Amino acid sequence: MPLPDGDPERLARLIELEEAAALAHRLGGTGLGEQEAEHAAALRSELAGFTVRHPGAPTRAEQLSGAARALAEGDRTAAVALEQELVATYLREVPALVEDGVVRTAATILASHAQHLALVRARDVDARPSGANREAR
Amino acid sequence: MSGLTRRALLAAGAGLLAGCGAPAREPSDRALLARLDAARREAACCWPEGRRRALRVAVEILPRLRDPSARRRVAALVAEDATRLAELRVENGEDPLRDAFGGIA
Repeated sequence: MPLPDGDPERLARLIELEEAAALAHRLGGTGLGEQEAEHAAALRSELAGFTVRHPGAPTRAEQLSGAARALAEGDRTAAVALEQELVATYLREVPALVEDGVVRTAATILASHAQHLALVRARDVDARPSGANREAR
Repeated sequence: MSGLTRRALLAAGAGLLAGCGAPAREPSDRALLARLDAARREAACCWPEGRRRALRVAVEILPRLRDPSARRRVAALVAEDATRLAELRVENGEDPLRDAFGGIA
């Protein structure tokens, strides 16, 4: 019987999702891409603690799928679906992680995605103060 | 020093050393959840700062919970409280996304 996934496997999956989300938000111009990239960087740093490296991030919309692809191709309504997917994934993964630091890092990223979701739902992204919205301009 | 006294001292010393080396006892899930409940009750008095503090407590206790269902419940509270915190910041005319980590720090 295969062993259940450990923190490194779970971190690798989360990094992949964050990097796809970062590219999608950047290409979709929501203003949230930089924060997604920060999530990926924080998770990569946790993964490095297990002496595991993760392959490079996607660079083109064609490498994405689902809501991330739709957002990257300009459908900004897909941002809601993308953030819903991310929140659902973290709600599933965070309780299953083991290492204290990894759990806390992932929990703060869950909090961040819940906030992104609230924002994109409210179509409030463009009204945010300029500091958080710089990269979309 | 008599043999008895020496033995007693050695035993006492060994006990002290064992006590010093032992890991601090982890609070039970019940105690951790009670701490979170208290933080969330206090949050009602002082938005959004109280909500931010409650969120920090949730993130802090999460890895210390042993029961998987308690972990799932607290993870859901993290999402719920973070959402509310963002809404409160919008209502206050603040940036709801102060940083990439829920603005908890």
